[in-house]
Amino acid sequence: MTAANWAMLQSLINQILSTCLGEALVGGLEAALNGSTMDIHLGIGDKSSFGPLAGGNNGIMLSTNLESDQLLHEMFHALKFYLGGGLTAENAQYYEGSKMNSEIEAHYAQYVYMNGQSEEVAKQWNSTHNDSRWKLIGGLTYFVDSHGRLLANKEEYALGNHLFVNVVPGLEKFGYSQKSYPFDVNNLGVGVFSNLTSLTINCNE
Amino acid sequence: MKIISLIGMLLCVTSILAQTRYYSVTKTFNENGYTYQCDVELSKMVSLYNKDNKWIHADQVYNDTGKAFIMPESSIKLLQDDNWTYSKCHSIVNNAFSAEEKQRIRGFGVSISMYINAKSGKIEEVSFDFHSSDPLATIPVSVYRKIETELKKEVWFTPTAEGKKLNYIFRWWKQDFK
Repeated sequence: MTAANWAMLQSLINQILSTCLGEALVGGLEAALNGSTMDIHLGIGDKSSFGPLAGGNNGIMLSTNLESDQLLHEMFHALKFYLGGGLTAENAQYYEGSKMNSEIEAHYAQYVYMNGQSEEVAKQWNSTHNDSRWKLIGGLTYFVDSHGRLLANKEEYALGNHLFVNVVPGLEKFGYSQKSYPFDVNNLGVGVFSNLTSLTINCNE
Repeated sequence: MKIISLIGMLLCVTSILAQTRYYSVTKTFNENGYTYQCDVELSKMVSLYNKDNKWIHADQVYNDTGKAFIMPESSIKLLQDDNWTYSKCHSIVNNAFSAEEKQRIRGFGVSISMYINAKSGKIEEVSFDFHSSDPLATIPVSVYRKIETELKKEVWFTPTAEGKKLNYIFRWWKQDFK
């Protein structure tokens, strides 16, 4: 990466670190890496992702027009991967078998992160994330709070039903195919948001 | 003082308990000049919409190929930017509720979906989503109808060349009442 790329990355990480969720995520990822390093590559497409990179390691592929919420999204995937044990066969099976669960949590964390910004920033972001996919994600706020915890007047079976009947089929329609993004039905309720919940345990909002 | 506070709290609780919940089961509202459909899922999520709506049940597709439209990560523009529709939409929703209703729904939100004509930019259909256990379920259908008619009358968009390729343009937001 060029000096300009590094500067951009540093700026995005600084934005993430300026929030309680972001600071906890960076700390959590660092702890999960346990001294190892994670590759970050700069791609040429418009889509960022976490997964196998050239060279055999897993890491984050950044799009050229990356924003901090997208980086945070990919860091959630990385966190789950490294918390599960990284490149072990057992973890690969677990990680690959629950990629839809990861997508739901990462999308929701992204939504929470942006809606926790200043009113003006949140308004701007919401005004460009107003398609059906984000309706599915925003709709999760009817069941869980910004920590991913079940709301006081809601039941977990209802959240599970909502995920299974609406959110999962909806995301499948928007490119997250059942084949590439399997949904682990054994983790149907608030467990989907377990990393968000544990990361934000000391956050107020 | 404590007794007065306690009585006040009891009155509030009684008031909340006494509110009619209109959307506990799937049903059709045959009102004066319009019909609304309320679909309630097992999760108790409510979808409320004008019975004449058709796009709500249709996927967004490209007119020429019939291929499904998927918004890319980089978010392409289907409607031209403007500096008034966002605030106008929020204002219409906010003003549809009475002061007493706003007090009742404080801390909760309603999702509003608009289905926009891809050629003209006019809002063709509106639908609402909320949870049946939330206070939004105590708001009569006439309020939602008012929002629908006001949005259709007061707001319009300008589709981009990309937007014009679709069967309709979808726009959604969740409005929380603070």
